Amino acid sequence: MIIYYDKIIEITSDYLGPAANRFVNRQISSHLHKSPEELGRSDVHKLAIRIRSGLVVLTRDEQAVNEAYQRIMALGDSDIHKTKWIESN
Amino acid sequence: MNNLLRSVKPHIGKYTLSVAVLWLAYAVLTMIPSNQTALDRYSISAVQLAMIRVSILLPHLLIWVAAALAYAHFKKYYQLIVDSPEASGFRKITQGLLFLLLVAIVPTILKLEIAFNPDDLEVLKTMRITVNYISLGLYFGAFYFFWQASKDFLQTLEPVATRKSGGKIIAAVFILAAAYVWAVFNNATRTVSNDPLVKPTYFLSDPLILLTIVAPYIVMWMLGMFAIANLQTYSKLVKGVIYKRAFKYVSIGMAVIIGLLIPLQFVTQLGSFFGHTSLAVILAVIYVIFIALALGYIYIARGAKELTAIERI
Repeated sequence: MIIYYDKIIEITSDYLGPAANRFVNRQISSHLHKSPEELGRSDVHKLAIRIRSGLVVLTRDEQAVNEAYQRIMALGDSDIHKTKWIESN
Repeated sequence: MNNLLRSVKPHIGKYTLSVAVLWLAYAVLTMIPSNQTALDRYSISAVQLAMIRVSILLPHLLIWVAAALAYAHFKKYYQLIVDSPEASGFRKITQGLLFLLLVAIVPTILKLEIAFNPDDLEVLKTMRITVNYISLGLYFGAFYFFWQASKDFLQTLEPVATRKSGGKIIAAVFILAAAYVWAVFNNATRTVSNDPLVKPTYFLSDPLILLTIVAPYIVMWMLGMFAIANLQTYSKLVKGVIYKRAFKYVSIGMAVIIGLLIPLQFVTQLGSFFGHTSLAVILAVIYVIFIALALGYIYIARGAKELTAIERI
């Protein structure tokens, strides 16, 4: 679902800036063996773990890594459609 | 992606090895000609002259390798992100770094002609003019590409960012230009020299110096200062704490390189001073400038390496 993908890109951009798109796409295709359009709620936790593993290699800032991880994990815990409906109304 | 990474990785080693081999050839050629003028002036033996030559050759090796590393790492990173919106900026920085690598190597090698014909005034004049214009052209190309790259980076930000320090830069360039014009036209040996220890800086008439040397350098410095300001702005505004940290190495390195190349032109006006000062002072100046430049290139290379690391995961 593209909604989860867009949200994950938005979160990851806070850490990887312009490289976030390419980074997330690589994790989805290499480790989940899916396309961004196929990303569903059930994939979010696995992707969060993958992204955290990647960020740990790139920075010693554990706080930033954990923060990114928690934010992405929260997406998988919440009903994003309900959230978007609330936001739009 | 992994195949691309594997294919570009050896190229960094190839660039630095090629530059090191070129330096070795240059070093051997440098040691061949004798220089009776230097032997007499500093009252040193041929062995001591050889040792001094080696001590000047080493900073050249440092700069050549550092510049090659910066170029190779940037080229590698650009090849990884070639389809991205920011690719244009990184391509132009890579091109600018290539020009700086060439300006570190080509004029230095061309000056060997002078070393082999130290008493031939025609050779000295031809090579001095040729080297000055080649250096100017390469520096101008590098600064132009850096300026274009910096504008491209600002265009990728949302919303598109503009630099707010234009007035301050123009004022700074005006002051630098005035100081440079003063320094050049107070350089008594800019066209001819009656002092056998001091060679003319340009061998050109004043109108030619003003139009073809001074004016282009001033324009080039303006482009360079705009580039520094734009890169600093981009570095502050770009998203991503990890990306920002990596890019900061690039912007600091660029600021050091561009910032040092500006006063270097003032140093070239000090022919009379260097012609009569001690060897220790000359070596100290060479080492300080070369080490600082090398640090700038190393910062740029490090920034490119950290940006590449993001693409490898």
